[in-house]
Amino acid sequence: MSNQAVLEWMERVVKPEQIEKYLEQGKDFVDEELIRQSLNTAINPEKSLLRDIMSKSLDLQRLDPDETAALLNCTDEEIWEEMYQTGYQIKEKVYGRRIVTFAPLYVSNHCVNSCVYCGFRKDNTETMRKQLSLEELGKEVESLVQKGHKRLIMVYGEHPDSDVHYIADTLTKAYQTKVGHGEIRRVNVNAAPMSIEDLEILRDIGIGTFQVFQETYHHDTYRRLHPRGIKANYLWRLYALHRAMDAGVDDVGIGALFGLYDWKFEVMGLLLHTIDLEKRFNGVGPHTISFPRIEPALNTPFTRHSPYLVDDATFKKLVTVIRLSVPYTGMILTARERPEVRNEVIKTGCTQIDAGSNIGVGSYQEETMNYDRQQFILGDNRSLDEAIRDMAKMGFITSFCTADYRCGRTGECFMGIAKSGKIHNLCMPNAILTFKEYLLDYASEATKDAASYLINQELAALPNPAIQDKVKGMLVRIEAGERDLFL
Amino acid sequence: MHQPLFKKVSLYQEHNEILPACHQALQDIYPGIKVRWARIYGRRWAFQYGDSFGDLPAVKYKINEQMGLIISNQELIPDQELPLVLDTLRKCLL
Repeated sequence: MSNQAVLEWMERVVKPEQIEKYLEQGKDFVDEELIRQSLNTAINPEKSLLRDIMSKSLDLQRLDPDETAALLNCTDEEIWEEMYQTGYQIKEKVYGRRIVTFAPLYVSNHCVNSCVYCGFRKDNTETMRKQLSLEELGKEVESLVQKGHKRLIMVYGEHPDSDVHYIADTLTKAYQTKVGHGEIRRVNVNAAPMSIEDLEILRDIGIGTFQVFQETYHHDTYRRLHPRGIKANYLWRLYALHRAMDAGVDDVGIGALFGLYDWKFEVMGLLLHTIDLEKRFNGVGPHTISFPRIEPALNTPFTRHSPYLVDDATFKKLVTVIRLSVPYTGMILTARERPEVRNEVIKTGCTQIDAGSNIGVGSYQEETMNYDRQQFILGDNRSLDEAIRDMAKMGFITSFCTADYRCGRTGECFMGIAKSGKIHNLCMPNAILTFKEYLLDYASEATKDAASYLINQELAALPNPAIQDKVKGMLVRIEAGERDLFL
Repeated sequence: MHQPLFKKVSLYQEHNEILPACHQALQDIYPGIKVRWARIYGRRWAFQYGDSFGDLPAVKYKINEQMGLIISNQELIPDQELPLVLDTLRKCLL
């Protein structure tokens, strides 16, 4: 594609009217003055206040900005320990001892943007550019299916070669690919912001969650770090998920890239994003929140020298505050983090992880790490089987459940169930069923030995005897060869 | 055709959209069932209307290419009536 054609495409992407409709008196929802005031007012919060806020979180109520600010400003390590425990209790209450697991699949790294922290930026000449053909994509998916994956997040750079029609074709291909018993049952998408009309195309294909991270909510920092390209438009990105909701894609994922600006500010930004979505869409906020930390990337010195890099201890704190602030929302802890960090932080209330990840475009089938095709460098290179085994040793059952979005439990319905703390009544049975499939079809002997106990343990813990009996019957059917059974 | 259901839907439809009308009619005729309606987009069954029943297992039925019905306590609908119910809903939702 010629440079002129790319430029013409870029001019057509942003639809100003699909930004303006969401502004209030010309302003977006990231009220920096409110954030500053909240953080400055809640300095040295009393223990009693912090404990009251924790009680509110345990009641599964979303926190207000001043409450989140108070948690962020806590300086008492004893109280932080209580917060970590509260995060874990919330996770148990809402989601149970299950961890939903997925794989990232990088489909294209062509990009028109110039984000200074990203290995895929247009002017990074050391990155090898690659976009998968449908045939290559099929092989990547086959490779993932053969390892036992059922859920993907497919990731695309922003470029006319990977526009909505390409994304739609690749989604269709992923859903069509089957290997024996195995198939991908839910494909989430991480791609550039789109118009409502384009999002309707992905909706019709059967997209899972649509994920767009704001990276930083701080306006000036955003401007500096995104100097050129479509991504330079802060508001087009900020309202990407509002447009998705308006298009009928009612599971959306927000996120911030920690290390670009002050971590407390970004947590407040995520909270304000949640509040605005809930306000406009009948109580439906984000389906998931992600909190990646900036990682080293090829020929990208900013990633090592940002003044806002977040250390491991602070990372645990910010994840905990997000858990407490939005107690009913899924939280994704990615393989950017080292195994020891993940094993520690997951206990504060994370619900989803990726495992067996390879983020080089086209690298799954080659089973190699190609740093020159990666956006950044992963911290956790455990295989899916190893990660499942480690989770089992910590008492977590891995779930490949995809039932919700195939049973109408999306958007308002899902959020209603999650907020009432009842989601695990269905999700735990589905975790047991999908975990049984994994153990039968893909697990190593070591993992079977280490993890099989979870089936009986979690089955016995199901509170409803009728559901327990139903699941027992389904487990027998799975042992007999049936697959994809769910409640 | 399930005539009582069809009549009820027609009655409710005078003052309601078609989904709430079907929803209310089903619950009148089969008290105790819980129902939710979904728009089908490929594999995604997107919630449109009805009950959450988050702690109850349910059975899903495809009414047509666009609409799906998810029922909990479906045993409250006699087996021989279920095909008629689905057929009637199919006609109502044309």
